[in-house]
Amino acid sequence: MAIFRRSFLTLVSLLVLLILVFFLSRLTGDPSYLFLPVNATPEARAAFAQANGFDQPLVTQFITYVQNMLTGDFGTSLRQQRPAIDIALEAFPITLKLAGVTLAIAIAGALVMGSLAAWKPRGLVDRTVGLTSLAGASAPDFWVAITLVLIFSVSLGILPTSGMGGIAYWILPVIVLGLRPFGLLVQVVRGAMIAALSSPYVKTARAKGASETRVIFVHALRNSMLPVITVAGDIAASLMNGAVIVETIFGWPGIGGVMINAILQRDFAVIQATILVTAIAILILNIVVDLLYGVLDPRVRAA
Amino acid sequence: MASDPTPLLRVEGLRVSFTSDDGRVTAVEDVGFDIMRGETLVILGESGSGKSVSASVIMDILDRPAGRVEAGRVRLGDTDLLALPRAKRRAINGARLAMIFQDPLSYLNPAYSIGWQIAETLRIHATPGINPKARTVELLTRVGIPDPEQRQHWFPHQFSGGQRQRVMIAMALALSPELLIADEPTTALDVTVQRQILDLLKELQAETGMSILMITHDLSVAARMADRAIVMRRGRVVETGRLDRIAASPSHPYTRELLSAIPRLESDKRGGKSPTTDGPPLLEVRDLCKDYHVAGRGFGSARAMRALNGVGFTLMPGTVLGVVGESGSGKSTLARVLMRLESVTSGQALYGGQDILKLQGSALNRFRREVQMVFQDPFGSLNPTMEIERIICEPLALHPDILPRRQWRDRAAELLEMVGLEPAHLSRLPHQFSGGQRQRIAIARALALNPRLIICDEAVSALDVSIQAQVIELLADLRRKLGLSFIFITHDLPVVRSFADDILVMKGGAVVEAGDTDTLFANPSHPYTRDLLSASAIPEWMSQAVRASIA
Repeated sequence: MAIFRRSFLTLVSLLVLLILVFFLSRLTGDPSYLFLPVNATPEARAAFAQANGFDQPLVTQFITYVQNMLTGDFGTSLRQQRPAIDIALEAFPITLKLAGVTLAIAIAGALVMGSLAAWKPRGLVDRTVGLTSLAGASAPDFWVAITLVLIFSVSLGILPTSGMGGIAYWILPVIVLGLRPFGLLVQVVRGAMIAALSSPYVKTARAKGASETRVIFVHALRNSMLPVITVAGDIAASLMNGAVIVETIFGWPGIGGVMINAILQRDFAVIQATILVTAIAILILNIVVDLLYGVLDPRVRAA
Repeated sequence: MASDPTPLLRVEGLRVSFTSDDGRVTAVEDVGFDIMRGETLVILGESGSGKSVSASVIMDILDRPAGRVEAGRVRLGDTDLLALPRAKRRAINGARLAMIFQDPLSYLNPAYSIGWQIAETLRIHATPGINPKARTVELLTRVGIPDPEQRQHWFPHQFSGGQRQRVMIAMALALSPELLIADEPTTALDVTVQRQILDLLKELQAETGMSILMITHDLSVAARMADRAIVMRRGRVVETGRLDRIAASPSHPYTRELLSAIPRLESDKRGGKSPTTDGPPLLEVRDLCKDYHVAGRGFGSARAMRALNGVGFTLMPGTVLGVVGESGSGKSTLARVLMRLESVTSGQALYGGQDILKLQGSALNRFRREVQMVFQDPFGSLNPTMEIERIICEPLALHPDILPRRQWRDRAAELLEMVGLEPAHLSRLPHQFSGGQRQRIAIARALALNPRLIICDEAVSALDVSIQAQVIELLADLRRKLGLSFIFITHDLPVVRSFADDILVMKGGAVVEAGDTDTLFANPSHPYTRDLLSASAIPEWMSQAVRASIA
C-alpha cells in the first residue's frame, strides 16, 4: 500500500515541478533577442516566435508541451536544433559517474575514519579527522581545485589538468568534489557512533564476549547508518544537480553546465529536459534512501 | 556448598571512581564478597549505592574512560580477571560469565533478529559440537518462547517486555555459564510477569547448577531468590549474610530502615478520618468507556481499541481510592479522562452533581482548579529551565483571581514548607534536587490552587523504596491536615495498602474487583487480584522475622 501512495505523491510532485519550470523559465525573457541579430525586424521576430510556437498563449503552449511529452517528444533545442532530451541524456551520465564515484569514496572513507574517531574521542585519529573535515567542509572548491591543478598538473606534471579519460583524469575532480561530503559525513558518522557505542546493546555485546572490532563494525555501525544515509542522500541530490564549478574546471561536460548554458540562452526545451531528468533521478534516489532505512532498521519496516 | 569451600567468584577491596564535573568521585569503596558454586547472592541497595557498578567491573563493561578501577581484585576460580589482557578477558564473557539487564528493549540490538543475536554468542565462542542454529531454537524453546522456529527471525521490538527478557536469558545461557549476573532483571516488568521470570531463573539454576548474582532494590525479589545477601549503601557493603538472618537481626541502621519500608507492615498507619459515608459523594463515575482508533496498515482500515470498558466508582470526600493495574490496564487513561486531558466515548463523571465530561469554558476552568495531578516521572514533569518558585506559582498565574501577585512568593514558600522542603530553595532549578524532592515539588505545585482532589499517576513508582514510604507519609499527612481526596494510581499493590481506603483493581480496561482495602487484601475474590497480591508479596517468613526484629 505504502508504495502506491508513495508513487502517487511522486507523480504529483513531478507535475508541480513541470508547471513551475515551464512558467518560471518563460520569465527569463524573449529568446528571439538572443537568437536573432540585434537589428532584426519585428516581422522576423514574429516569424521566429511563430516557428517555435511562442506566439500562442502560455497555457496553450503548456498543454502542447505536455501532449508532446506523452508521445516522447520533449521539444527541440533552439541552439543545437536537435531533441532536448538527447542533450540532457548525454550530459547526465557524465555527472552521475563523477557523483557516484565521489560519493562512494567519501562514504567509505567517512565510515572508517568516523568510527575510529568515535572509538577514542579526543584521541589522535579524532583530532586529525576533525581538522581535515573542518578544512574540507569549509575550503571553497574552486580554490582547492585551482591549487591542486597548480601543484599536481602544472608544477609536478603528474596529473592531467582537465578532460575525461583514464584513472589519472578522475583523481583531482574526485578529491575536490569529495572533500566537502567527506567532511560532513565523517562528523555525522562520528556523532552517531559515539551515541551508539555508549548504548546499552553495546554493553550486551561486550558481555557476550564480542571483540572491540566486532562491537564497532557489527553492532554500533549498523545502528549509526540511519543519519549517515539521510545526509548522504542530501549530498547525492546536490551532486546530481551537477557540480558546475568542478565540472567546468576539469572539463567534464556534465548536466550542471548544460543547464546553466540553457538558462543563459533561454533555450526553454533544454532547461525543461535537464531539470526533468535530474528531478526523476532525485525522486528515485529518495525512494532508494527510504528503502535503505527499512533494510537497516527493522522498526521502520513495520511502519 | 559447604563441601567446596573455594568460592566461584571472589571480589576483594574493590574501589571504583568516576570523573564528574567536580573531579573524581568514588562510587564504590572497599567492596568485597564471595559467590559459591550454585548459590544465589543478592546485592540489595537503592539507586546510587554502587551495586550496578560492581557488576560492571566483574563483566568488564564499566563506562570508560569515565569510570576507573582504582584498587581491588576480582577472582574467577584462580584467575584475576582485572589482570587479564582484553582479548583473554573477552573470551571469558559469554562463556563462563553472562549477564542480563533491566531493560531488555534497549539492551537488545534493534537492528538484528533475536535468533541472530543468540547465535552470535555461540559463533563468537565457537565450540565444536554445538550447531548455533539448532542450539538457538533449543534455547528459545527452553525459555518459553512459543513457535521458536518462526520467531527466531523476529526483531526485539516485536516481542513483549517479558518475552524480551526471556530472549536475554536464552542469550546469556547459550554456553551454560558458571555465573549469571542479573541486574534488576524484573524491575521494568509487570508484577505477574516478574514472578514468571524469577521462577524461570530458578528452574534454570536448578538444571545447570550455575551461580546467580542478583542485583535488586526490591525486597520481595530478594526474598524470592536469595540464599545470601549483601546490602550496599553509598558504595559500601553495610551488611552481609544469609537473608533470613539479616531480616531477623539487621546490624546496620540502614538495613533496618530498608526493612521497615516493607509497605505491608504499615497497614494501620492510614490517614485520620474514617471515610465519610453520609453526605453526597465528591466524584461519581458511571460506565466510562474510551475507544482509541488504531490506524491499520494502508487505507482506512482503522480498528478500535477499547482502553476503558464500563469503569465506575464512587469517591467520598476526604477518602483515598487506589487504582491498581498492570501496563495496558487503562489506569492512566482513566486519570487523563478525569483530568479532561482526553475525551471519552461514553459514560458520566459527576462532580458536585455536574457531569465534568461535558464542562466547557469557564466552568471547565473552575473544575480544573479543584482537581490537580502528580505525574510519575519527577524528571520529565518539571520544566528544567524554570526556578522552583515559578514552577509552583504557575498554577496561580493561570488562575490569576486566586491570589494577588505580591503574595505568590510567600505562598510558594509556605507550600514548600508544607511538603517538607526548605523555603530558601525557591530560586533553585529542578536538577539540583533528588527524585524524591522533585516529587515533593510536584506535590507543592498541585497544592497551589487549594484543590479538593489530587490524582497521583504512579507518583512514587520511580522512587527508591525508602523514599516511596516518605512520600506516601507526606500524602497521608496532607490528607489529614487539608481534608484532601486522592485517586492514587499504581501498578504496585502493596504500596497503596498503607494509604488507600478503597481499591479498584483494573485489567484490560475494566474493573475486575473493587472494595475496601483491608477486605481486599485479606480476602481477594478475583483470581487476578490474588495473582497480583502473591506476585508482589514479601514471603511470610520474612515479614514475620522483620516484624519481630524491628518491634
